[in-house]
Order: sequence, then structure tokens, then C-alpha cells
Amino acid sequence: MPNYLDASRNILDFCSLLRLEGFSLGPQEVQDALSALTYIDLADYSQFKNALSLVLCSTKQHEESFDVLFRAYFLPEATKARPPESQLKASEGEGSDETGEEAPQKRKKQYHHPEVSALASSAELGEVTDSDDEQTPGGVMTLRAFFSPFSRQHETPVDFSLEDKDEMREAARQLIAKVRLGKSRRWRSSNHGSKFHFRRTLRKALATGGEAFNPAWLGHPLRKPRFVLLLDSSRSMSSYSDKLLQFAHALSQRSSRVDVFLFSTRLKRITKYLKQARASSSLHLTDLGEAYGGGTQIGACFAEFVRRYAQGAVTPDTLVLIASDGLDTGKPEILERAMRDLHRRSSGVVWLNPLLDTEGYKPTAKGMQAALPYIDTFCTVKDASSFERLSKQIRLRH
Amino acid sequence: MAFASLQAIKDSFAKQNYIADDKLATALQLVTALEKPLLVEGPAGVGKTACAKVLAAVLDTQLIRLQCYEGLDTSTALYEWNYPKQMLHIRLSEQRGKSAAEREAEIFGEQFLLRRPLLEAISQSDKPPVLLIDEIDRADEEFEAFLLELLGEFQVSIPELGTIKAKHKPFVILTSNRIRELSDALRRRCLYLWQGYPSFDKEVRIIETHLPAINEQLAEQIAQVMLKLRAMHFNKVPGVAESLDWAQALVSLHKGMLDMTIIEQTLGTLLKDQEDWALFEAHRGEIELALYEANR
Repeated sequence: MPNYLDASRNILDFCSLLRLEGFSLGPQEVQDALSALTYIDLADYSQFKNALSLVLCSTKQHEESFDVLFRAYFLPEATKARPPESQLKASEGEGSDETGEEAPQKRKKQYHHPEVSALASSAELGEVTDSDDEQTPGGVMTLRAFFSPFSRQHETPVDFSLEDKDEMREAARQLIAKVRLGKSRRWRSSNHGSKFHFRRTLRKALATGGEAFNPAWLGHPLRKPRFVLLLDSSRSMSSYSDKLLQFAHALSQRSSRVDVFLFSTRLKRITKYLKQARASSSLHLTDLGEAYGGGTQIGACFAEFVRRYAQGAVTPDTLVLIASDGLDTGKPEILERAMRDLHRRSSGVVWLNPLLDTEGYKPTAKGMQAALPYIDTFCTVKDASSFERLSKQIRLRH
Repeated sequence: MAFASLQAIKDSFAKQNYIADDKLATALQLVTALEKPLLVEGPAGVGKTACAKVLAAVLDTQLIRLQCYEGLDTSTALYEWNYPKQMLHIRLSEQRGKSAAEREAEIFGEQFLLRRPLLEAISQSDKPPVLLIDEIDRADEEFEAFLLELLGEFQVSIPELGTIKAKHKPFVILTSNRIRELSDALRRRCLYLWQGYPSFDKEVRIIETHLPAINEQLAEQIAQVMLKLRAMHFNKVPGVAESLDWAQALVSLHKGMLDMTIIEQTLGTLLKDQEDWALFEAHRGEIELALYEANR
């Protein structure tokens, strides 16, 4: 609810609420928001909202949560029609003045009603939600947040040990060195190029009185590989999770072109946590939700990956590394379709299956069967040394 | 240069056959008022690029377009010296006995400079142009960082010539299909607009504006079917560009009403992927139902 009589104070207040919800707003953005309001008709509700959203949002996810937060802040009446428990509690405390350091804390609680957190978490998990203005705001989502059997699962952070680093680092180095993709299309200056580098030649020629004694050349540099890691973190794979994440960490330290996802019954991108985990020796993952320690929905998770991320993350330069035991509980057709897509988009699909080491194991599980035709390299991972062997086994299509 | 009101923007856009909603109109008003770039994201074929073109037409100014691709570098985006011409000039003026400094000043003059889109955009002398940076997500991250600098200052340093500063800040529109995630720094410099698929009413209006010859019922049927199709998980979801193509095809075939046979005959204008065709076959029933409801 707007707390002040002064419009600009309210905007500042609203911006600090947005910051709590993960919007990165500096003074420049706030200033822009205020000056944007001088150009529009303030009496028009939709213009007011649109102008603020244009300045303050910077991604689609922001836009979606902005809708909810905007309503919660500027139109609390409409939101109160269906008062969730937590908001009731918050409104009790509203009478007392919020002062000092306590205020932001309190406000954070107040706006963390299920609707907002459900939206935030569904955005995190990659669900595209249609938040139409006409619908009762977030009715369906509230239901899910309350009654989903997974709603409380793994809200506590999970820690993975990242020790044993040296061998993994070596394995990652070898893998990166091993993946050769030929040459890229762009031009870089090079000693053995094929095209005349006019600019540099002319510059050099100035030193020799205009005669180009030392021509410079442009050539095509080598294509650098990208890696996408899809790591199964369901219960059945839990004993391998540490090793896989250590490898993923080592790989993302050596190359900036690594994207890492965890999946169990849902998918979650953890690239940024791995990159941040530089100094500490343990990886601290929060908000994993259904992406950790549950059952296995490989097909559904891969389909989600293909739909949401594949377009950006999987290019013809990309090697897709999947680590899973292939015990899918979903329909094999979904998995097959997703695998076909990954196969088509990437330069190679590697499936790491720890069960392959078990004597007498044959990939006869339905999920595995569906995926097999699209796997270029099928191998096992058990310990650090098997990761080191990995680079020798990999096959690529060109 | 700022627009008088939202309605003025919408009206002048409508004159150019572009249906702008409130949010887009507000965005364009702020682009002209705050002089900030606008980042438009959205699926393919919803009119992201067209909006920049129409903006240029409405403001009666030049549209300068930079199409991004992997490997785009400053020499194709910003400026390049015309080396063959420089070489020739050096050879021809060899006999004139000028000093090295004079010759250098000569060959790095304006007449040997090839202006690429970005330099072109900041060196307009009469009016601020519209600079369209199309599909920025296809360019490399390094290029994005370079662009950031340019969008912040609107000036370029050319070592041989000095600094060129924009007389008129161009109106910048960036589009992205989200092929690659853009950096936060770039996002923060821009106003952000998500342009999704249009609502039913808006799509009907778009079709009717572009094809005045179409009858109302057919336009509504098309919009209805498109709504249904977009809800399915196709690999390539048909955008507004596709529905306009389809409408155009139907009008040229003199079809006044949709039925399943006609849809199948003209499906090639909508779905351009074999797997999508198979998916369409699988969901035939739903389309038929949507058609039936639209006919009622």
C-alpha cells in the first residue's frame, strides 16, 4: 500500500520493494522512473503502470512479477479480496509505525504472500505463467503453492563438497582441449591467414615509407566449444551428485561457455551459482525446489529445457553432456522428442550413465531405449579418473 | 522531439498500418522524451522490427539498421577506412613531393572513411535518426560491451580523425529473440518492452488494417485459429507475420470462410517444420472445434 502522500516518495518506496524481489535498480533507474512520470498522464492508471514497468523491468520475468507487485502495492484493496494467511498477519502489524532498520524486513514479509512467492518460484523454475489482468489474480497459483506435495521440499539450501579439485580440473582441461570443432566464420588477425588485413598492412607500411614489406593477414580462428551439462539430481543418482557437480564446477572455471542445469522432477539452471563458488570449497545451492532429490522426470525436464533454454544454450558448437541413470518415470515419447531436438541442435550428445559400470547392465529401461539413437557417446562416470578418460571417448559430429 | 499524447502516437502508427497498444505507445513516448534506448524482446514475427521502421516513417526521419550476426565487429558496424582507395591515392600522389605527415593527414581524411550504420547514426546533421539494432542477441558478448559504450555516450573516437560526437541523439531500438541471454548492464541502459503475441481483438484489427479487402468473418476465424495454434507447443510458433501471410493467401484464393480442407491446403504459410505438421495432425480435433466455435 502506498505509505506516503507524496507521489515520488511512494515511487521510491515501491522501488525498494522491487529491489527486495530481486530487481536490480540503481539510482539512475529510479531517477528515470520519476522523470518518465512527468511525460505521461498520471491520472491514467494503465499509462502510469506501463511507464513504470518500461523503466523498472529488464526481463520478461521481471514484467510478470511486476504486475503482481504493482497490484499488491498500489491496489491493495483488489488483492485483499482473497486475503492469504500471511498477509492477514502482516496487516495486523501495519498499525504500528515502521521505523529504522526493521522496516524493510517487515515489508518483505508483507509482500511475500503466497501469490508473490508462487510466481517468483514458478518464474525461477521456468514456468511461463500467463498473468492476465482479468483473471482473479493468481488464484490458480495460490492453490499450487499451498497444496503441491513438493511445495516445502528443499527450501533449505543444499551443500555440495567441491574438494578433490585437481583431478577434476585436469579432466576438464583435457575435455576442453579435446573438443575440436574446426574453424569459425569470423575474421581475426593471424599469421597464417588467407585474407589481406588492409588496416594493419597500411599501418605497418607507414614505417617502411609506404611500401608494404610486411603484409598482415586475417584468418579464421578456431571455434571454441560450448558445454551444456544436464545433471540428474534425483534420489537414485544422489551418490554421484557430488562428483558430477565437482566436474561441472571445474569445467565452468576453465571455460566461460558452460551452462549447467540440475533436474529431478523440475529443471533448474545453476550456472551462476557454480561460477560464484570460486573461493569456497563447498557449493551452496538454495531454492532448488523440485530440481533436487525427487523422482525422475527426464522427458519432461528435457522438454522444458528444449523449450526454454535450448535456443540460446545449444548451438552447433555445443557439446551436451547428460548425466543420468535413465530411469525415467514419464512417457518415453516426450524424452525421445527432446533428445532428437538436442541431437539436431548440438555437435554431440554425451550420456554419462553410472549404471554402465554395473556388471550385466544393459540399457533396456524405456527411457534409455528412447534416448539411445540420439546419443553419440555413451559412457560411464564413477570417479575422477573416469572423468579423465571421458575426453578420450568423446565423438563429435561435424 | 516528443509526441503530444499516446493517442497521437497510436493514430499516426495506425496510418502506417501498425496497430500499437498502450504499452508500446508509452514506450515510444518515453524513448523520445527520455532519450533512452528501447529493448524490445519477443517471439519471432510479432512486429518488433516493424515498429522501428514505422517509428522512422512517423517521425519522417531516416531509419538506420544494423543487422547483428555472429562475428559482427566494429569494422562492419562502426567504420572502416577505404583501403584500396587510400592505396591508389598514395600511388597517384607519390610524385608530388609532399611530406609524410601531409600525406598521412590526407589519406586519413573524411573522404576515405566508410561510414557503417553506427557511425552513420551519430553523424546525422539535420534530424535525429531511428537506429534499429536488430537481433542484438545474435552478436557476440564483446560487441554488446562495445555497444554499451556507444549507447552511453553517443560518441566515437577514431584514432586518426578524433572524436565524433552526435549532434542529435538517435532514437535507438534494439530487438532480441532471446537466442542468447543479454547482459544486465545492457538491459539496465534500456527501457524494456516484452512484445508477445497479440490478443484476439488486436490480431483481427491487424489483419483488417493490412488487408482492407478481407471480410470480417474470415479475419475473426483466422485470429481464432491462430490463438489455438499458438497454444500448442510447436517448434516454430507462427507469429503475426505468418497470420498476415495466411490471410493474404486466403484472400488471393478467394476464400471467404475457413474449413479444415482449406486450412490443410494453406498450412505451408503457417507451419514451416515437418514435426509441426505432424503435431498439427495430432491436434486436428481441437482446431476443428475452434473453427466450429468461431463459426457460431
